[in-house]
Amino acid sequence: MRDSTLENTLDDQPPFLTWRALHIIVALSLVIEIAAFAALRWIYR
Amino acid sequence: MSNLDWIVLCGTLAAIVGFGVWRTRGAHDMSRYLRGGNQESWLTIGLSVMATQASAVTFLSMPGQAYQDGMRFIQFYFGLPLATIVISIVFIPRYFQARVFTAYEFLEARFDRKTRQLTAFLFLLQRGLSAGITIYAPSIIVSSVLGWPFRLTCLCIGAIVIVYTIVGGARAVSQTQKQQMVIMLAGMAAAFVVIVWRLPADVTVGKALRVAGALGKLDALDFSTNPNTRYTLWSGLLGGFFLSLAYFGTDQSQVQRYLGARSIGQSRVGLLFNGLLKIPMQALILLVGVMVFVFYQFNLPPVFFNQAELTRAKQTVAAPTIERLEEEHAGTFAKQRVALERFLRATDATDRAAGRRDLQRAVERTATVREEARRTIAAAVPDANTKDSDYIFLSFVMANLPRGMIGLLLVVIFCAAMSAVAGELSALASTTVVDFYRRSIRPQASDAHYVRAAQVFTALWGALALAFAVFASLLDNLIQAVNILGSLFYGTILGIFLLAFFTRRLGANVVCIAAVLAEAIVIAMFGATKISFLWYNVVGCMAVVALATLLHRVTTSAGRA
Repeated sequence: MRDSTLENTLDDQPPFLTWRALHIIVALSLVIEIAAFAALRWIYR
Repeated sequence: MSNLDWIVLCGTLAAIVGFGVWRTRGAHDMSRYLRGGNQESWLTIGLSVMATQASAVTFLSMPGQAYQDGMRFIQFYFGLPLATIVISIVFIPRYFQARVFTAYEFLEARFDRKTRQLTAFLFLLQRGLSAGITIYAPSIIVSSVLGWPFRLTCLCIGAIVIVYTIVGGARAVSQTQKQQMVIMLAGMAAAFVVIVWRLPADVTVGKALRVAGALGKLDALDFSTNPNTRYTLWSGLLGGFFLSLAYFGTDQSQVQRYLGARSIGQSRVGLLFNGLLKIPMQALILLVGVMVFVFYQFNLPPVFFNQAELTRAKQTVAAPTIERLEEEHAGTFAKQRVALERFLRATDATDRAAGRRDLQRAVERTATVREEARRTIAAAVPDANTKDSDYIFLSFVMANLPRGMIGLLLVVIFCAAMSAVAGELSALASTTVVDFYRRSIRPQASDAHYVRAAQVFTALWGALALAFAVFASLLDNLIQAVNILGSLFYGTILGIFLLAFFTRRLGANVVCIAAVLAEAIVIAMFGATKISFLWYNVVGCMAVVALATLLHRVTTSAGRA
C-alpha cells in the first residue's frame, strides 16, 4: 500500500541524538515540570 | 471590532488556507490524499499532532478554568509524555511496517474483519459526534460575546475547513495545522505579555504571581488519593497515561497525522516533540488565565461574565435584584482592593500572613456575591447558560486588549477550531473509505475512485458535523453525553490494540467478547459511581486484557478436556 519512495526511508534513525537519549529527555522533562509546579506553589505560597 | 482586527482576522485565515491549498494541490492518489504522500518532516508532524488535539475550547475555556480553579487542570496532561514514549517504541513501527492507511486496518491483519470494523465503528461514532461539538462550542461563545449570528459563525468555521480538507486531503490538513499551531503559540505568548503590561505599573510578574499564589491559583499539584477527585497527580499520571496512549496511539485523527511522515524516525521524533512541548504549552494557557485573574484583582470584573445572559436577566423582574448585586459587588471589590494593597505592602512574614488571610476573606465575599448573581440569573432565565467561566477570557480580550490583538486572538480561536475539525474530518473520511467502503463495498476500484470517495465522505461528515453544531443547542443532554463518550470507549479500544501488539495466540472471538464485557463494566462504572472519567481508560483497558486472557485459558482448557 505504501509508495516505493518510502521503502528507502524505513531507517528508524532519529535525526539527532539516539532513541534512548530522546526518550530519557522526554521522561526527564516530565519530572522537571512536576518539580517546577511544586516549586512554583512553594515559592509563591 | 476595529477595521484593523478584521484585517488581521480575515487576512491571516485567508493566507493560511490559501497557502495550504496551494501547497497540496493535485493530490490524486490514495497515498497522497489519505497519508500526505509520506512527505512530512518531524516538525510538521509534531505541530500538526498538537494542533489536532488543541481545539478552540482549549483556548477559550482553559484560561477561564484557571481563573476559577487555578493551575490544577495541568495534571490531566502528566501521562502524555510517557505515552508518547511508548507509542514511539511500540505503536509507530508496527503501523509503518504493516503499511496501513488507518490504525484499524492493523487489527484485521492480527485478528479479523469484525474486530477491525467494530473499533473503526466506535471511532466513527465518537469522532463523528465530537466534530459537531468542535464547531458548536467555540461558535456559541464567539457569537454570544461578539454579537455575531450563531449559525453564520458555525458556517464560517465549518465551511472553510470542509473546502480545504476536500481539496487537499491529509497533506492540506497537516500543512495548514503547522501554520495554525505557530500562530496559536505566538498569539497566546503575546496575550501573556500584553496582560502583564496591562497590570498596574508597580505590579511586576513576581508580585502578580504572589497574588495568584496567595489566592491558591498556583496550586497545580493535588496529591489526594480520592478516586472521585477529577484531577490529581495520580489520576493525571496513570489515567492520563492510558487516555493519551489510546488517543495518540489508536485514534485515527492522530494516527493519520504521524503516518504522513517521510520515515518512521521522523514520525517518532514528531510525536516525542509533542510529548516534550505539550505540558509547557498548556501551562502557558493556564498561566494566561491566572494573569487574567490577577488583572481582575486590580480592576473591577463584571458580576457575571456572560454579558448576553446578564442582559437577558436584566429584562426580567429580577432586574432590581441584579442591580443591587452589581452595587454590592462593586462595594466588596473596593474592600478587596484595600486588602490587596495591604498584602502587597507587607514587609515581614507576620504582616504577609495576616494580609493573605484578609485578602482571602475579601475574595470569598466577592465570590459569594458573584454566586448570588449567578443563582438570580438562573432563576430569572431558566434556560440561561449560567456557567460563565467559558466567557471570561474572550470577554477580557474584547474589553481590555488593544486593537490588532483582538483580531490576533480571534485568529487563535478560529485556527484552533479549524485545525481540530480538519483533523477529525480527514480521519473520519479515511476510516469510512478504507475500513468500510474499500473493504466491504467496492474492493477493486481504482485509486482515483477512492480519492473521489474520500472527498465525498469528507463533505458528508462535514455536513453532518455542521448540522449537529447548528442544532446541538436543542440537545443539551446529548452534548454532555458526547463529551464523555470518548473516555467510555478509549480504554476498551486501547485494550484491543495492546492484545494485537503483544499476544500471538488469542483469537478474534475471545477478544471481541472480552471487549463487549469490558465496555459493559465501564458503562456500569459510569452509571453507578462518581469515579473520575480518567480512571475509565485504565479500567477499560485492563478489563479487556484480563478478560481476554481468562476466556482464552477457559476455552483452551475446555478444548483439551
